Amino acid sequence: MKQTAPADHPFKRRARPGEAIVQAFLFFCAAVSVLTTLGIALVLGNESSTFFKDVSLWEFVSGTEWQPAIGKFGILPLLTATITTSLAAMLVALPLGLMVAIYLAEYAPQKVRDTLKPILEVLAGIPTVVYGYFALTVVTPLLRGVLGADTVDVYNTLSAGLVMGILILPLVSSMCEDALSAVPRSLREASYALGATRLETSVQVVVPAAFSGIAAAFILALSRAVGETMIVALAAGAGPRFTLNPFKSAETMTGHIVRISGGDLSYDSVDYRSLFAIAMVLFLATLALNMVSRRIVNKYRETYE
Amino acid sequence: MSASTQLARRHTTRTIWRNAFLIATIVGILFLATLIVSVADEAFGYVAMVNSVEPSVLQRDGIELDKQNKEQLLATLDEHLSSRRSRALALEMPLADRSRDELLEIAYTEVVKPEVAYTWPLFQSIFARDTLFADAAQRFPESTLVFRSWVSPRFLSSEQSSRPLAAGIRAAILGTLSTILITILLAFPVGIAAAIWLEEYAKDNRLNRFIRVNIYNLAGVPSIIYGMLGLAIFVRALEPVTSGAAFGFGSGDGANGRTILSAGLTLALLILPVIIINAQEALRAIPQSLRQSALAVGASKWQTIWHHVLPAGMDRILTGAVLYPRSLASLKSMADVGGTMLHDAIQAYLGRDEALARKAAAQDDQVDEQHRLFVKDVLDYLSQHPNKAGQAVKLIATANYLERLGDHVTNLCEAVVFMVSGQHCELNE
Repeated sequence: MKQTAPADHPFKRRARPGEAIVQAFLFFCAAVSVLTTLGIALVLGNESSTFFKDVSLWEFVSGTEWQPAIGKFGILPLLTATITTSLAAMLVALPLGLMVAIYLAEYAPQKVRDTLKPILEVLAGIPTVVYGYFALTVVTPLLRGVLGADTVDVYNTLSAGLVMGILILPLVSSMCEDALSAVPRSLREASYALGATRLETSVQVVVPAAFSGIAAAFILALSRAVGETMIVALAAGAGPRFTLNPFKSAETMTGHIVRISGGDLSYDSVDYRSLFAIAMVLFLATLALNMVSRRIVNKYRETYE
Repeated sequence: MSASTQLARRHTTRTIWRNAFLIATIVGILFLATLIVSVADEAFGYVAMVNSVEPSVLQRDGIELDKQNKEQLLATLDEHLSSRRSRALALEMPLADRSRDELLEIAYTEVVKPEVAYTWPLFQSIFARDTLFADAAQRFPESTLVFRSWVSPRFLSSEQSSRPLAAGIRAAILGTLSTILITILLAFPVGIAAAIWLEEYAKDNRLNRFIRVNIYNLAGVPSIIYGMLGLAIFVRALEPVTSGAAFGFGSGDGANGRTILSAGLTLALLILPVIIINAQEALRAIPQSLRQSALAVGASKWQTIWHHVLPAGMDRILTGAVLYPRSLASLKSMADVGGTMLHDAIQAYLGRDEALARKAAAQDDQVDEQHRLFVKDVLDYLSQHPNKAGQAVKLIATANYLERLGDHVTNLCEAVVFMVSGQHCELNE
């Protein structure tokens, strides 16, 4: 027979030790993300501080040669390549992305939007290594055909940057479209009522109203371009070069890390630790961009009631 | 400048930019098309095959190579294989012990030795076949032309090889699958648990706010930084565990932490922020009333979550999508059309515009049609998921209100028509 509990304190809270264990576990899982951040900071900080005992910080940030074999660790060649590829990517992704967003949010009929949006989102789902291959086998031959094989190297930062722009395009367009769609219809109607055309309404009323969202999208896109790895590793070249010429081969920060860490690398060497110094620069740059993007959204967000 | 020329100019600008926006969208889609086409172009097409020994030479007793039985194949191999090669093969397993299919395979790889002399891309293979055939006959007179799909079951299921014809990606596929398996097994439980903590338990204090901001920042960290973390922590620091040496696997010497386990662990950390953010959104979408009713009948907090919140949210957590998105979109469009109708009806009233009133009322058919489809859709969904009845009823009620909105606007329009023309009329019969 089943024993019923004595009913002397019918409304007393029952102690549930299981609940506390579960809660502790859930908290631990949430804390994993903090541990990850700590791990990143510790690993990067630890290895690069050892690196800066061998190489002076000044040489690292101002040196124009990166040749670990002869002990030259100047990050500028890697930095210029990252800047060139990101710039090319921005030149493709920002104007195109914003225009696609304006078309989808302001012009396209519902049906067209419902078909086009998923197609564009497929672009974002393709693995980046496929894009790298695409840059190397399609875009580079095209550039060499149009601009001449003497001007354009087999590996060049322009091709990598252009294809990176295609990769980032859906990110920009979908974030900008969300920002544009969030602008209330009354603003548009007020503008139409004053006799403005649809173009004037979207460019002079809706886009400024959605400025914070669009700026955030642009900065996130830049952060994504700076951190993008596989495309530049495949198509931009394998050898640091201090140049801003987009037709020459050069190696970005990410490309260099991937090439060196993938090979036979002896741990506890200066070469190995130098990778962490590069990663540190990369981490700080993307973190700063992401935080600026969030700050813009929070500070300049127009709220409509 | 007169008003009309200015207007004409504004309209020209409008048209130009309108087309520019459309073209930008098309360019984006063209990129995708080019990418797919260029992959397909290289993956299929005619190839010129050259054999070291033609299969026709290998006929035995007038029977073609493909149709020979085991004894005949053995004799064929005996005749054509060099003695060194057949000894090497026999070392692996005596030829006589092998099956007929294996022998045929050996006959092809060791004797016929087909090789690709040249490959043509897919589009040339389809649209310029005649010139392609002529070209092939001239440049590779010995060869036979075969249409080949480089993506084939064989390609997926064979090991890597130095001969392109035999090469496959089985090992790469298995490696990818096992990495993903480890990643999912780790990242999903931890990610969902973290989301439950943040959404259901966490108080709004500094620590939890820090965790939230931190997760958003982690989502923006480039994957290569995670790679460096994995290299330093999983590959190096935890090498005894990730190489399996701690569990007695692998040879003691040359133990290496660069394993699938390390990759899976690193990838799990990489996708964790995304999973947490998606799971949080899914949990937030579950109505508070569900939790309250469970708590009201005496369930503990964790029982509420485990038995009610999680089952309700699981499909959304796993797909990251919301419930019947198609239907919900039509709910919004019903509201939009209703809003426009109302707007037009009021304009018609203000402007005493009978035509506009009739036009506004005519849109009611659209709302009715969407209403009908929406209710049907929700009912279909309901028959599949009877436990979602509460939600379905609310959605249908909302749709009914919107449909009624359309009817009321129609009545308004009838009143406007009466006001202007003095005629009673029933719009939208």
